[in-house]
Amino acid sequence: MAERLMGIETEYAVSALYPGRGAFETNELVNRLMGRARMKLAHLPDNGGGLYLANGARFYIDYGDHPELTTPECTNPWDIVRYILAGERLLGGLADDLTRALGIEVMLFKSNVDYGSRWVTWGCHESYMHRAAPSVLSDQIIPHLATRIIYTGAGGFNSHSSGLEFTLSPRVPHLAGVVSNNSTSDRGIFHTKDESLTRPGFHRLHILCGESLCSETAMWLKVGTTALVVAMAEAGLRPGAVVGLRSPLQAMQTIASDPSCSAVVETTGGRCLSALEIQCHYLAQAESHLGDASMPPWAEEVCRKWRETLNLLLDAPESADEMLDWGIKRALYASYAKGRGVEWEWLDGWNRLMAEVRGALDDVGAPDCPLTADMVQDNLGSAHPAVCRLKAFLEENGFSWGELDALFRLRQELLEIDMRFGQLGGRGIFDGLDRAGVLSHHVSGVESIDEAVMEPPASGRARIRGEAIRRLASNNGNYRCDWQGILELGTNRVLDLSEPFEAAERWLEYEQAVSAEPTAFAALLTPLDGAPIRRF
Amino acid sequence: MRLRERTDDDRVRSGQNPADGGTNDANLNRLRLAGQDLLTAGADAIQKALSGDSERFLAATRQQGGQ
Repeated sequence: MAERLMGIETEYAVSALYPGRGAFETNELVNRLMGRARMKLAHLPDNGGGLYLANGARFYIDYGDHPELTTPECTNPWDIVRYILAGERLLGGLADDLTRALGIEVMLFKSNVDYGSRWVTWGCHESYMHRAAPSVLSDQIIPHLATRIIYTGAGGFNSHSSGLEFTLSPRVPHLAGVVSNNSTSDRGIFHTKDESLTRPGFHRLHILCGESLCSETAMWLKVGTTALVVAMAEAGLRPGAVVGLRSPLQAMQTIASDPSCSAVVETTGGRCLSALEIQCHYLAQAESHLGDASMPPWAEEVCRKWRETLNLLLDAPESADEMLDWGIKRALYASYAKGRGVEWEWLDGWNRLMAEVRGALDDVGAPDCPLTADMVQDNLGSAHPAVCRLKAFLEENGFSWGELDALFRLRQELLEIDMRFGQLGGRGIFDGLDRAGVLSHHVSGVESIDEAVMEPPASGRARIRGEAIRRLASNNGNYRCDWQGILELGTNRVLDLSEPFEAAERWLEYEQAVSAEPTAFAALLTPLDGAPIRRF
Repeated sequence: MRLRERTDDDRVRSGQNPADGGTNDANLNRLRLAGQDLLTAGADAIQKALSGDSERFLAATRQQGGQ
């Protein structure tokens, strides 16, 4: 059986609000959070202000002032979930600590879009080490990535919409293409970045179309199923061959907007298939190769849970209401809206009108801010066709114009609820539901989270890194760390971590390091001022 | 259909949707009961989480784009 190596990087949203007035400046906030991490956590510094931690993970501030935590490299989906949860426990502790120091609540959110502005998103990226030719991977995996959102979608609202368009995957409206090398704009379903962070001979598939999740089942399936598709492609199989999508991005958008999971999309062969059917195809491919040497030892368990989940979605889609992020959210949000007198189904018509109204407001140069009845009327006038249609729609559905602001407030509340759903530190809505015991999202075998805060995974180079960091952290000014090694300043010895499945701690003298793996250690051996490290 | 403003007793109201008990299918019944529990707990969790001024909350928690 072949071992796999994978990891998750999660960018979090952070904010601290003063009572009754504005927010703490974000850049200052994340710097203070990082300062707390330096003080509190056993670590070795990286080259750019970030930290490698004793469990083998990395914590740093990424593009857009987002605190970002990576898991250590893991060999199975249980460890991935375990280290995501451990990282969040650690982050929650730092936020609590900073809250006490600042005297205002520091909030961290697991979400991927900002409802305060229409175009802002941040990521939860997946990495899968492989040996396949990168050129063959995209065709095999794009149909999987476009359709897996029926169980991996975070759920939420389309942040481009001025209405309340529920989507299985709020990241989808922010994807601009099918294949792209960009990660901050014009993002694609398939990201071509291939930075292995290992010695030569390996590639790293970097996926950025996914989302941060709360459900253990969704997290576990996301990495488990995707790793199996990568393993099949690496073995020369063509799991996506007969389910290639004619218009992958459009197909993903269609699937994301269909909580019934019944919408069909067209394949390049002219067949019309649902996301469930395409996922069943991938699953059947994996099941038919379970005994292959190329498959990881946990493939059978992933297939079993994969099949169970697809069957549930097929037979009783409401089962997702307690298990998957998007299902839980949809059930809660529909209930909340209903409690306010708004039927969920009514939103289709409302969303169409809001798109028309927002378009009309954009045409007259109205500000891009939350709508109010006065704003609509003042900017468009009561005789504007969009306003007339809005009035007629409200009347047809038993609402008065005077209730329009209440509808707009309901929208704002639901957007806040969505942001609060994944709030860290036990204060999120998901955590509240989990404590109440009303969810069925746990994955058997995901355990020992507290231990994972300090201890690395049992195998792979992350174990060597973590153990070394734990031992060296008390003298961390003498070391610099990256994914492929630890540099001991002064002696310039390097702990070689360029072999992904390294099982022993091997320190190289500087000359050995430079000659053995010149590309692997190039970044580590270049100090911050760019000058080469002095040879001794 | 009438619109209601959010009130402090929403949590109780949205949790009160008793099953009609019209089916003998154990699975469906289990799903329905579990669904009710979820909505009751959800209403409670939402009530505790909401700031009371969502527009201000969303404006104040605005983020920059990441990757």
